[in-house]
Amino acid sequence: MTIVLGIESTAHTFGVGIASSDGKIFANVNDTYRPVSGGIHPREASEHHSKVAYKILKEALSISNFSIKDIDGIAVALGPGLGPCLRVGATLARFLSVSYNKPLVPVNHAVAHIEISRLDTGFKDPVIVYVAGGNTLITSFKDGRYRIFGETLDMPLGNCLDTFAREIGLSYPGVPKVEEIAKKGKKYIEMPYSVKGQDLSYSGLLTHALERLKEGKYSLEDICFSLVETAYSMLTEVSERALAFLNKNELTITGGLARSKILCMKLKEMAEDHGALFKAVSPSFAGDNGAMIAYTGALALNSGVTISLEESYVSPLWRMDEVDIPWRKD
Amino acid sequence: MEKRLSSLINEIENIKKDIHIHSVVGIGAEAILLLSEWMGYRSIVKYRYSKRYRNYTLDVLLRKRRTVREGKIMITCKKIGIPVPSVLYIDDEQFIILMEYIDGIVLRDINISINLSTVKEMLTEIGEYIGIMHKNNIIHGDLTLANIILKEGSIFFIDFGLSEFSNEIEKQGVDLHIFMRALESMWPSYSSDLTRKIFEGYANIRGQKTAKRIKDKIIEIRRRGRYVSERRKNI
Ligand SMILES: Nc1ncnc2c1ncn2[C@@H]1O[C@H](COP(=O)(O)OP(=O)(O)OP(=O)(O)O)[C@@H](O)[C@H]1O
Ligand SMILES: Nc1ncnc2c1ncn2[C@@H]1O[C@H](COP(=O)(O)OP(=O)(O)OP(=O)(O)O)[C@@H](O)[C@H]1O
Ligand SMILES: [Mg+2]
Repeated sequence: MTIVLGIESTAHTFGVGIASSDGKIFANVNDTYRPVSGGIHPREASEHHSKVAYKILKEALSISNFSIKDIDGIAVALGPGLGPCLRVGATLARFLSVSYNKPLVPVNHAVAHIEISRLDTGFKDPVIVYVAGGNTLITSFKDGRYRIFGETLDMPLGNCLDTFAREIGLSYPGVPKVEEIAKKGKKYIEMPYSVKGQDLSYSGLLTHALERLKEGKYSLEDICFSLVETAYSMLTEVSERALAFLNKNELTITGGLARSKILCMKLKEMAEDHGALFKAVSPSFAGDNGAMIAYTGALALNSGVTISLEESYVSPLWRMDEVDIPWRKD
Repeated sequence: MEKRLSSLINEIENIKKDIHIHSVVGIGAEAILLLSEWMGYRSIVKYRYSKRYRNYTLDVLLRKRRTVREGKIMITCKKIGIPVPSVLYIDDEQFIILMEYIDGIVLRDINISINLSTVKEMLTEIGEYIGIMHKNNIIHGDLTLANIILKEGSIFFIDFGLSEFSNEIEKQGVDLHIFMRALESMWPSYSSDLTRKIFEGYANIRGQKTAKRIKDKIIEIRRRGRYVSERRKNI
């Protein structure tokens, strides 16, 4: 059994987790930066991360009852994400690796969302809907990697709704707040429904919803209802396409939007109608978190994946389908 | 599942009483497809059934729009020489299309490692047909490996529910990008070779200059999407 300490710092959240390769989570401590106004400012977020890093690290160790000496490796999410934020995690990881002479393990943030969801749901070979502030994609394992079977062509779903929320004066995270208003809406207003093959596009939808708002003809409740209904139906449809195409019988959702009851209900109904099982990752592992980096790092270290200090630079655009997954067999 | 299938079949039999259903060909993402007999023809019934996960108004709107588009564009394709099943009957109120049955297999189910050279040849031909569609302002909209059927060495395009008429280079680029990505996810180790074949065919029809413009467009499209994490900085 391999025990790894993992550090997450790709965007809003700074987190430290401790986990073993056989799937035990010993600690998962996270702190999310909330911009006072506007969207995420990478520099401000990174300052937040630097400020809380030491406290979170200490807390994670103390909760786990491990001393850093008991740990077999230090994992860190090197991407994808925002450069300044990524560098906080990478710097801390390198420091721990050198100071305590522990191997350094590179983890792809997207792969970590997937692995924690597999662990948490117990699904062996699911189709995975990964949807968060910075990502919207459908993936599944094939020939040694997680391949992409559907994705947004422009804007991620979380970002689309967060931006809309901001425009109507609601703070981050916007998705649950827009959903609350949507629940009061009744009338469906037609909005651009943009599914292109296995892919989708959200930027036209966002622009349209904002225009409708300015027009002043419809209530905010109906606009939110129609926006959420359209956005989630599009995602459910491309998930359905991937599920039918791949002919698999498990479906899961991971990433911040996995907390959405409305979205999960749609995916569940769709999966059932195709004779597939649906389970969402638990809320505590849905958003960015340290535990997922630790657990994926433990799987990776167990398969001999490490990185030298010199090579451990951050990669803001690191694609998930570039990462070999040696701990899985077809 | 069994219960659901039989209730869907019931639904169709009630809508269209003059068809005789033989067997279920498949449940796609959008529709149920049944092999049946209609006025003596062996045909496929494609029925876009209701999705309980989406709002009913939206559901009806999408099913209607797609049935109409599919029928219309398949007929246009046939006229300009794109191999598609013949359309026999369309009912856009009941979301039903009847079409010729193509007794073959879809591209997805081909074993690539033993059929590599055949697949390569076919992809050149597929690239040519996509070129002809685009030249005639048709965007297929859903070029996946489950939407191309092979029958005795011939290719057939199906599933035009997301198709549209457009001459926009952006849409043509997305059309090809979707097909390339389908190849990359399905046959990762062969995909760069296969993609080259598509463009060979595409350029045969559209000329090197246009093909190059579309290629550049695809590169631009690929810079968005999953490479988007950097973008939100600017939003
Ligand atoms: N309770 C909730 N219900 C629905 N959505 C939520 C909820 N809480 C947060 N979200 C949304 O989840 C998204 C944040 O996801 P996450 O914590 O995974 O971070 P991220 O940095 O956006 O992720 P990534 O880098 O993986 O794309 C935001 O769009 C936010 O509005
Ligand atoms: N005319 C036909 N002849 C033979 N088989 C067909 C025909 N049309 C469809 N099929 C089969 O049925 C499957 C689903 O058809 P189609 O793609 O039209 O439905 P769909 O619900 O739109 O699918 P999806 O949205 O999942 O791509 C095809 O992949 C093919 O195997
Ligand atoms: Mg299809």
